Amino acid sequence: MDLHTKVKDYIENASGFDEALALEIIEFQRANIPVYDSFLRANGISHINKIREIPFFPADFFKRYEIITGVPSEYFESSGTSGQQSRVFYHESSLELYKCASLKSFPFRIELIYSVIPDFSIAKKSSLSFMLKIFETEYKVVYVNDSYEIVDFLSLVDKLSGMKSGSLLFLTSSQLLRLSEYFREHGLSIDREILVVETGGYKALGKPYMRSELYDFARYAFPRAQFYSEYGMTELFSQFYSTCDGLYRNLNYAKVITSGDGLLRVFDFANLYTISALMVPDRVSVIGECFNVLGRMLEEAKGCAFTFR
Amino acid sequence: MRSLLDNYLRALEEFFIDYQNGKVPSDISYQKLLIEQILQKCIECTCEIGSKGSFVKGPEKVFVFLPGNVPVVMFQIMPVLLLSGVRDVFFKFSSKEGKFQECFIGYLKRHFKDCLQVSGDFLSHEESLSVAKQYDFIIGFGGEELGQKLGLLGKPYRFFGPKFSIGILWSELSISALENIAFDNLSFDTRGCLSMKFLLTPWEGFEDQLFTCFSVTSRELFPMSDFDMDQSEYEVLRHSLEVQRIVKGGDFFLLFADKLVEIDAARTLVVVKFKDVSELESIIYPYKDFIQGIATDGYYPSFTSCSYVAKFGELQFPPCGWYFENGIILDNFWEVKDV
Repeated sequence: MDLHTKVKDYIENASGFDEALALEIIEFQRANIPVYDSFLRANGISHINKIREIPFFPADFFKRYEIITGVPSEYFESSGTSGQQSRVFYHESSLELYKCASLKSFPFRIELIYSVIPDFSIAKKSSLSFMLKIFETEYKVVYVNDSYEIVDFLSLVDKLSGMKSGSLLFLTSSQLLRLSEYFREHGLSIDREILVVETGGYKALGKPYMRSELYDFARYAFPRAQFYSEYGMTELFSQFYSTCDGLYRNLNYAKVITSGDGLLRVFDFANLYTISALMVPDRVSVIGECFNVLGRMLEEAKGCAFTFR
Repeated sequence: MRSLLDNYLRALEEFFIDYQNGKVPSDISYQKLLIEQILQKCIECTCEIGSKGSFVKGPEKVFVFLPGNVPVVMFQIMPVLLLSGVRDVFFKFSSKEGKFQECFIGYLKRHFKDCLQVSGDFLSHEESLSVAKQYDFIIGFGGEELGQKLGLLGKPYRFFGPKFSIGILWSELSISALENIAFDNLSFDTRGCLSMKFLLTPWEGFEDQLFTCFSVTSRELFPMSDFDMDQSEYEVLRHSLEVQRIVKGGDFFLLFADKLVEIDAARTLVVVKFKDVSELESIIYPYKDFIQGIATDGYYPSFTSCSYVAKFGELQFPPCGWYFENGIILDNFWEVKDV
């Protein structure tokens, strides 16, 4: 069985973390991505025996290098809320794993998704929009907004007022905040049993919000909704959902390896054609099979030492 | 003037003893050994300065922006203020470090009583700039952004901008030199302007010895409580492709490169190899205006902004009368241009 098929099967059927397959993936990536080979060499890694022994590849490298095995057809671009944007190149085979992981990760039993995230045909570089496009293969997805901003609130409210109980509203945390503010100002609400799934990114909200604080605020607009969060990023082809009593549930095929509190170290099997062992500048706290995202690492210039910028 | 210095000396000595005995509250646990050694040096310098009897006429009211993570700047700046007849000084603390600095101010207040008004607080940037305007003179330690803002206030000021220190290991490779290099680097978790960020050397094959010396020294100069190994690791790994080799210790990193890698990682030393003087100088030259101190066993280039040349292990202990930057002495401390 070739590695692609092995990984696809594993994502679909994984019952535990397959370290041997993970090591095979690292060797594959090392052999096919020169930047990764140089990275491991600089860190003195010649042979890998255990995943915990390897240095995790900083997600920042996606801002500077074209990282992919094979010939890319296009790329996703990160939102760039924290400066330079990442470009994650893809091709047909890598998208197949993306699709597989996104569908497998999605934990909700619903039929209908209302997406405030724009259609992929509009946001052609957005991996989040692409994920919604993937969902179209399994669910009915209704796009109720044309961009990551909300310009026409009236039209959006009109479309959402027809939401059925048991459906799911998918939107960014920033959109949830703006929408909730609008509902509050106009005394509106959607009093139906729905699921609201927001995509994190609390730093884009204009002021620091705790997730629970945002949900409390949004509950005025959606009094009977259950709130969940999706944690994903352009550099990761798998996503996590907060179905672990409010924390994100760890996955076998996208394993958070961080011990206790620290920066996120994750091994994402769906990243077969880029880099699987990634270090992300988000602080997390791992509790059993769940983890909490505490926020982005701050680059605080401290001391009187010179800071290179 | 003499009695002010005497009062300051008593305050310092009392603070030193209480610090040794763990009676000084602090938001951050600093490197105790280092703080004690610097306090001792400050006590010696206060005695020495007092015996010289020199003084200048300075402004009456001074506002001081203190840097973060290097709490000793307050001890080092005090003699200048006292020798200049300053009557009222306000220290702007960095965030999360107020307790330690506020505690020291308590000792100063007790010993100075009405002879000198000393106060301090953690203020936001906007607030501190607004308060600073009410003072006759502003002293700022910090990043370039602070320097730019001070320039817009229309008040006389002296700004001590961000700098770093280097080491040049040339004539003798010894365990003692390597231990002292580790001390210079790990001091203040590499975040002080007198902390050695880069070591330049023609020597090879001493990586294992250097690692051992860092492991030993890091037991004395253990990380400050706000040190984040993951943050350093991320920064180090981000620069992996600019270096030849990375060695990770328990709470430090050693990087081996052929240039000054522009990295901002705490408890990290970049070792840069050179062949001859001309190569050494060409490596340093682009950064000549940002060099604060040089620790060396002999040669050092004279074209840099370096204000202090030290032996290995002594970077944190500049001589008495050192006023942070090259060319600044007590007599010209308050002379500023472009105001």
